[in-house]
Amino acid sequence: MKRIISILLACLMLVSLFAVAGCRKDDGAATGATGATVNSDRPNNLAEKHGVKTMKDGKIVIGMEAAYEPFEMIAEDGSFVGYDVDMAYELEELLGVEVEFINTGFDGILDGIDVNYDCVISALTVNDERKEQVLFTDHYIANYQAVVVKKGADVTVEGFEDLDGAKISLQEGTTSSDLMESLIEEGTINASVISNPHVGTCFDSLKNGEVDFVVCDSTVATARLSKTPDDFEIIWVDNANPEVFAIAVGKENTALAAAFNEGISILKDEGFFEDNDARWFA
Amino acid sequence: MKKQPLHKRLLARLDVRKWRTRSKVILCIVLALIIAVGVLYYLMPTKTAFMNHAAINAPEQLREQMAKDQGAKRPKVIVAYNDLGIISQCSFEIKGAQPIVERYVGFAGHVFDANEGVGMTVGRLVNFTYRMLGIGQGPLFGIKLTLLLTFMSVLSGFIIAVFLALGKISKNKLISKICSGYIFFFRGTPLLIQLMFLYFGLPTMLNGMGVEFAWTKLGALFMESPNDVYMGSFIASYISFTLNSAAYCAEIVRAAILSIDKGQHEAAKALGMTYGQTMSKVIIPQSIGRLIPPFANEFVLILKDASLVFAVSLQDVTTISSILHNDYASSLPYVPALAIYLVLTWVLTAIFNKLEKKFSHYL
Repeated sequence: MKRIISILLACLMLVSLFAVAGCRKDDGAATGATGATVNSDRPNNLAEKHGVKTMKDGKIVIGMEAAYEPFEMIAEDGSFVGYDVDMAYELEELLGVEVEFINTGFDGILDGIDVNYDCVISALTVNDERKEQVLFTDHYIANYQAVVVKKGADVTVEGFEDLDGAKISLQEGTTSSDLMESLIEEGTINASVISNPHVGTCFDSLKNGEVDFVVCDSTVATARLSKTPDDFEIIWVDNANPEVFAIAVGKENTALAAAFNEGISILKDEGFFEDNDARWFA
Repeated sequence: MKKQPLHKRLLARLDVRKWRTRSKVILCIVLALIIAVGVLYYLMPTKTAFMNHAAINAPEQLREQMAKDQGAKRPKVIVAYNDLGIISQCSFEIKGAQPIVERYVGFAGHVFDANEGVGMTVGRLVNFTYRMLGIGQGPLFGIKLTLLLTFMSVLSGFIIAVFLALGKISKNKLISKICSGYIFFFRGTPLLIQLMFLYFGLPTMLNGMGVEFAWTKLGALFMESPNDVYMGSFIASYISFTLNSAAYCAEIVRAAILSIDKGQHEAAKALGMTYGQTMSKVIIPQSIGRLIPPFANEFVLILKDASLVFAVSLQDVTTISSILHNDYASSLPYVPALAIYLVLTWVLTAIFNKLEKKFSHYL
């Protein structure tokens, strides 16, 4: 009796499995000619010019933590999108080498350079600690630290000192996390830190009232607020200390850094970054 | 009594006339479900139907952008069509500071709007389940990764475990110490650290010693770029999961062997059996029945531990659900994740219950 039921259930599951397996993914991506106006002087072989050698011939593999809106995220169809992704595709055209993205955790992302990927484009802030480990290209965007609270919270923040005695949620491995930890270590403030692997979880614990503040990049905070305007507000931005984002490559990989630098400077001249700002931060 | 051949027994079981009423009712229900699923699958709106629907009903801005995208190298409108066999979801999305999203759910031949309310929840559940099942992705993604890693590592771990267990209870001091040391180390340290050490530490150490080594290169033997990176991570995960589960299984096997009454050893000895014969013919066959429940437990544990592969860039069901949680600022993705795990462990437990019954008549 029981056996029969289990056989039947197994059959049912098999059938539903086939129903699922029968699905296919339509490749909707159209691959046609470039629609944008292309400057005829625009180089398309910077990689060759600088003698770039990558781990895989003819491909630059990029590591990113694709859960950091608006810089990098995964779209509903599973493709990579975001500010950094748009830039990477522009650089692909300029360098004349195909790019490939690898989604990885942000914690320890720099350890994967030259192991799993050639470079990291993942809203990576330039700082001295990281400079010892990797080689940074020229920066492509400036960013500030922002303090976010739940909408309507009865607090005033005019500096990091005001976070004294509070509970703060931070994303692991980010500069926000480094900054707050050093402030706590120095004894400037006394706060409890809750670390999360993804920035979205930080905002969720703020929404649920687990913590009082989220400290993160201003660009990220703006993007998150545009999505959920009723939940959060940015209470203070550390405008005095800009941070810059750059691409990280392996310490010895000067050729790739040079190619990226030339690419970034061309993009700056073309006004690509203004367009991209308008698309992702307007 | 002579047993009838297998095919005859199976045929006898399939004879519906001999079944009890309740079994017949259940058979009817299951058949009805299968037919319903078949009909719904047949009626499912295609992607073209969704596109046509969007061409009329989508917001002006979205349609304009879609027209502009025609022939562009990287379209700005991301069209995602997820299809779970009987229910499907299609979304049109322009990502950016002011995103425009238009979602539809297709069910039983109709296309429904899914931008808010029940439609949105259903649409999202379809999308989340689709992503977690890893449909349309490589084999090292979502549920496929979870299952592959669990089965491969527990089964090969079990084979190693039998030798480890026999080694640990062996009279040879050296072998016993080595096996105990192995079990002590792998049970005494977290699996996550073992995995990260193997994946990040080992190549660094080997390269330091002048041996060229990267997991990616190992992965490239099995898969083409860019999947070789994931394959490399998978191999590293497979090895560390195997080593870890071998240690746990070894203790399970050892406990099962030791639980067999001492009199059995003595009886075997009295019959003039050697140690090897005693073990392989008397003790181990008896211990299998006792070994299955804790082994099933280990299986389920590894199934859930498979989420640790996030540390080496792989995405299993848990990792995908946490990424989706982050992306959508919603904890809805955990609902299908829970359901998927529950179904998996349910099936596994059922299989192991069967096995336990089968082997327990030795006891």
